[in-house]
Amino acid sequence: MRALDKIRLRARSLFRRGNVERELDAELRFHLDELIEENIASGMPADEARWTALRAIGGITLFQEECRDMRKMNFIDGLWRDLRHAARVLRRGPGFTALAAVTLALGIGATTAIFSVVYGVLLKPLPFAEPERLVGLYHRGPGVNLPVMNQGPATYFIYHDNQQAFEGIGAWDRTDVSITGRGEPERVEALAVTDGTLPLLRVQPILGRRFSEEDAALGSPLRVILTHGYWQRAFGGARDILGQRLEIDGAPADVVGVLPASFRFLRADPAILVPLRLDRANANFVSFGFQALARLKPGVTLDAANADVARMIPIVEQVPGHIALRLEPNVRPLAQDVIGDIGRILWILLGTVGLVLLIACANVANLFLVRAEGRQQELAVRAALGASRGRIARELLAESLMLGLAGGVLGLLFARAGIGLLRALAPATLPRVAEIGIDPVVLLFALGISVLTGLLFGVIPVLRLRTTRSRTDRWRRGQDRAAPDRTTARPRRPCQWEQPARP
Amino acid sequence: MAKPTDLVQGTLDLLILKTISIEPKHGWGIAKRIQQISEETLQIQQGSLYPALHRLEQQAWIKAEWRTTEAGRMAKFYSLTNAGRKQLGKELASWNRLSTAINLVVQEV
Repeated sequence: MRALDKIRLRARSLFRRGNVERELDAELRFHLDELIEENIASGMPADEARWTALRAIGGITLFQEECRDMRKMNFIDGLWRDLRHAARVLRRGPGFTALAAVTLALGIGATTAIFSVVYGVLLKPLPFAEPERLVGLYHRGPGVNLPVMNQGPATYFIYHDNQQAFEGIGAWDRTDVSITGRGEPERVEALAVTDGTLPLLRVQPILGRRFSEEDAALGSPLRVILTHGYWQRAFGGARDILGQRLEIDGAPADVVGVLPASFRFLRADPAILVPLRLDRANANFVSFGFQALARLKPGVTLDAANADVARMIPIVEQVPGHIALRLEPNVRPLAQDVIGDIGRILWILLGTVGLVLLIACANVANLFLVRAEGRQQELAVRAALGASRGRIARELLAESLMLGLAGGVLGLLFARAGIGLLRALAPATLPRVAEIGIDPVVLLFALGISVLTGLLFGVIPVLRLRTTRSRTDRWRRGQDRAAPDRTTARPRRPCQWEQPARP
Repeated sequence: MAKPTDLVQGTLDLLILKTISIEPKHGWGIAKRIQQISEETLQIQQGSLYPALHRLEQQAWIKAEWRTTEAGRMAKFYSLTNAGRKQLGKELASWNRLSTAINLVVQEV
């Protein structure tokens, strides 16, 4: 109730400014009139009564201002005024402004571009439901000196039959196939999956169905699922695609489904999906030829999953040849299948451009300091006219924030160009390139670092303001513009460390 | 003349809340009333009275409305809200605690 009242009052102060101001005026006028009447009643002539009252009341504007302060009006009002003032000051020095903005834009642009890569490749969740529960099933094989070993028929069937930690296990493999029988023969990338894989990923075809257990059985007729891209490219998105026939590596295959356009599979970019057919009768030897993924049961941790695999490894070791591998479990987040080893490099890259941004900040801070030096007189006059230090500090900060934001906007343009270039030049080893771009998160990041840089280089002149000895002293000195004394020269020094490092 | 800064911090709020707890008053009336009751010891300066009133209103402890005075002029009358009545109770309690404590100290022989 009280909170609601407060909001209503704030809103009134903000949006019904005219009314509030008139009321404030009328209220104080009433007080003044009462005071005059009291004076007259005590026997003063009208004129004198008036003057005495005015003297007693003192600076009306001053406490009108205080009343506004109490209504928190000055904050918003002041913010607006500061921003306009800042824009004016920045316009007055177009050379300085352009130089500072471009310097910042380069830093912010580079950082944003690299961040968009880090975000798109590393941080963006996998495009599956509840991706944090998806894991890649791997082994370590110290017996043969392999840090990462995948799966084979023996391990797959044993885990499939005995596991307790997972909702299910799906095997997959990438292969290249030839498609014939429809005009030009074509070589495309195919993804072979067991019937459990798509359900685990929660992928639902937009047309038709997923692979059934029967599709995955050896000797059953070959079936195929098309990805959205291939369906569009090869069939023009025809709705009557189900039941049509392709020849895959010479074998006829019926189309049973089409996947949604949003389907992405780790680092693969398949045109078609075919069943991965494994022969249970022929799983009696050492072979590691395909990958497996799994979905953790709710509440099961990675450690528990690894423990579950460790429990099953003795069963695997009963299969001839496996004991020498000294298998160890290596269940890891599925995202790692996508990212691989690129993660560390990207973080280092982000750190590096972060440093470049810091250097840009330091340079702009220096520019600011030099300019602030030239403005000492202006600031001193304003202080002498009654502007508080906080007020001047706010104006300086508004300037740097505005410059930071201008740098940010310009930086986004740089970043966009940079991202285009990065995507064109991206090495084949960089996964998820299609995910890189300027999306809301990247925009938010750019805004964040713009504000942060604005504060960072803006706070230095403000700190200097505090070291100013006395305003009048400075004002007097401002008049004869003598050489700066030690106090003015000193605080600039901390920013000189970066000069040799300038690229 | 006692300037508001001479008043213990926060006492002005207490004085205002207490004064309008009996009946709604305009700013001038509040100042006069405090002056009278305190036998001219407390003179509230306009420069602190009005900002305090606006602050209290902003806190939703008091509410304002325009009414006609006995002399037939429009003036802004302030009265307590329910939240303000509670706040007055709190401030009174803390004032009592404080003044008792100070008395204990200064009256010690």
